[in-house]
Amino acid sequence: MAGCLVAQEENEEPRPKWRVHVELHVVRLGEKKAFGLLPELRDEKKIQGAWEKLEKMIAAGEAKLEASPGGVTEDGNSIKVWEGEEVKYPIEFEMPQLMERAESQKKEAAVVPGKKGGANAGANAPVSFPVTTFETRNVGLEFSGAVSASRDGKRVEVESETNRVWLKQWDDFEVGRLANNEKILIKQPRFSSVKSQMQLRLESGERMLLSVHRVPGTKEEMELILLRVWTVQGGEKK
Amino acid sequence: MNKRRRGGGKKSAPSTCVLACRSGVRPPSKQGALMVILAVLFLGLILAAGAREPFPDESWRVRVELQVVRVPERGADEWAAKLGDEKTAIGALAELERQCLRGAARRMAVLLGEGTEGRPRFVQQGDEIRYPIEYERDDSRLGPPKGTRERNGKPVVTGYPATTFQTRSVGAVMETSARVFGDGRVITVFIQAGWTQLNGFERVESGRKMDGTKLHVELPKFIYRKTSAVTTMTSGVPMLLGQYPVQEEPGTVELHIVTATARWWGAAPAAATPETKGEADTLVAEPWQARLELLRFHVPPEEALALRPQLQNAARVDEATARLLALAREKRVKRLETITLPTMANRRAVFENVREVSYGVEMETSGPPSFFQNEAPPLPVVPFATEGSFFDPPSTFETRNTGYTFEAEPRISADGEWLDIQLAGQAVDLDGYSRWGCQVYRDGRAAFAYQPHFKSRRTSSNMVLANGKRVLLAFHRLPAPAKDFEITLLRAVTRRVPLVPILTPSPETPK
Repeated sequence: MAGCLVAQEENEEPRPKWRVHVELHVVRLGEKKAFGLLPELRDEKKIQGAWEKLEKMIAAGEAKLEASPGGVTEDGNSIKVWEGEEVKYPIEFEMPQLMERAESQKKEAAVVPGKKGGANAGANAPVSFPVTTFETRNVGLEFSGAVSASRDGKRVEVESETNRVWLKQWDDFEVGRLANNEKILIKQPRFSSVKSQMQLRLESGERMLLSVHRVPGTKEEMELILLRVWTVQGGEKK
Repeated sequence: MNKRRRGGGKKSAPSTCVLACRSGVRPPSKQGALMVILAVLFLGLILAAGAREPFPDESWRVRVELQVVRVPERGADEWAAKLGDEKTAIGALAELERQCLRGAARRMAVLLGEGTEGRPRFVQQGDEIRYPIEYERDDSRLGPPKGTRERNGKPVVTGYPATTFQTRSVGAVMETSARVFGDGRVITVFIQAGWTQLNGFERVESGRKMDGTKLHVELPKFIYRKTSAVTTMTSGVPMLLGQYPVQEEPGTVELHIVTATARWWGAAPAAATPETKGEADTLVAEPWQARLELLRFHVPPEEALALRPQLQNAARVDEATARLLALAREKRVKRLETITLPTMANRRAVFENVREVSYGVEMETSGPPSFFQNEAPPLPVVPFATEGSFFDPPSTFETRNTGYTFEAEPRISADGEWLDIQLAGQAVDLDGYSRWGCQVYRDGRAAFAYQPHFKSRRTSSNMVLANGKRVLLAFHRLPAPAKDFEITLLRAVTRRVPLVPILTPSPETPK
């Protein structure tokens, strides 16, 4: 079997290998500025000019470069870039239990049953509500793409998948009550995300606007995600 | 033209059998031959998996952009009319964008679906709502399960930890694929676009503590608005895909506007329509398009019954519709829905403006089942009636869509003057909840399960309509205690697409 594979590779037409660079820019700016630039960012002939404006805005502090991951891979391969942080959160819990501790037992002994305690008997007793399983979610920017360059390296095809994730807030859910009716709550994360799966075809060096979206939790802050892909001669000729 | 394949190249590897024969080895037995065939098939599979598609030399790039914009109800009709007309749509969208910057309209989302002709693309923006759907049951009637949960004979803690969570994405979503025809001016687009919103949580009674405190689980309530259609568009010209009254924000209308733009990508100039592969192969351009316009009103009985003969009269239906619209402006009639649904001939289009209602349908109880409705004659007190706490959340939930859904598939005559439309519309309202007692305690208190009541009106029909004519589609009386009538009117307009003949692929185009 190995012999067949070798024979096939030997018969393959030699071709130059291209390396494909991938670069993303995530820029945060005001809504008016973002939508003001949108017509230029949509136009492949004007997007480079729009990017230069964005660079000036970043330098002047009118816009902020939130992330700028990049990487390189060989033609015909995949690349995955991610930058951000990992958020852990509980997903499985044990039944709440009283913690039998000497201190709490002493306090409990001071309470005369039926007189002061009533429904609140043991309300102050420590209760354990252990988490048994956690899950982890990556927040930040993730881009993965299978890249393929044309023979002359002038054009690139990218099977792209982009994920921009934020931790927006924590939501409370009631999962129990203490004797005094105090709620036992668990917190679950609410993530905001911008996702896309697209097959892109670009000229080498071309920029493309992948997304324009509102920053979660803000009213007038927008974010732009721009992709740039270019090829360079690399590897060794066979 | 390049015809390069990824990885393996085009030449197939010689089979093991051929190699064996060339090297003078005795032909294998039947069993051996079978093994060899299997090995060859296996090898073939490996090579096929690693094979690269030929690099595309030329194709159309299509950007499908969806804008979700909210405008005041007062001006919504004007926007819809301008965006519905190709001659005014570009200017209308530019003006709408300016209004957004001035704060007179709100841009909720802009989704960019960039990609290659024929390939599906998926874009989503929004929050992921995570919520528990299953819990561990806590039942002290069965004895203290964990020993230390009671103190001085009293339960100190009642717990019902969540065991399973579900996640639902809210915000804007778009799935689309496109096919470009001729010189790139005409694009056939399949699009499914929608907006989902969390509309708070519903508390579902699920148990009692010993002191009578009710325990609840919370179920999220979602609202979504969605349109799916196949439509032919002119490159770069916006089209109104959906127009929805915003249920959670009265007085506001949400517009879903889609723009598709085709650009040529390749070494050679755009001279021919290349062969297209993928899902969009099923997208065939039709010369005729239809725009279905639906109006729904809730009308007081005196007005409804007075207008009914006019609405049924083809010659006077437009006059009666104008009267209804005037009454709606005076707030004497409630205008529920104004739907503009674009679709291609022979393609089904679906409109949904839905508020989801979730409710428990299966409950677990520790004792014998004992149901009685509302305050109806109580059953004998169940002997196990508890002094402990318990938590019996519904074990199965059901979700029902309330609101309005409409789907239609038009056939259009060769001259575009007639439409034969197969259609179905459904309105569902939540009427309230009925209480079903399921347990009685020793102290006489009862625990209840709640079940929703729905009211629905449905119309399924097949209609032949003249281009531009309006017809009374449905006339329903709303169930008591409401006295109003629901009136649904349909109008269909055809439009001829300036379809450029599909050019024959050039000889260089790779097959």
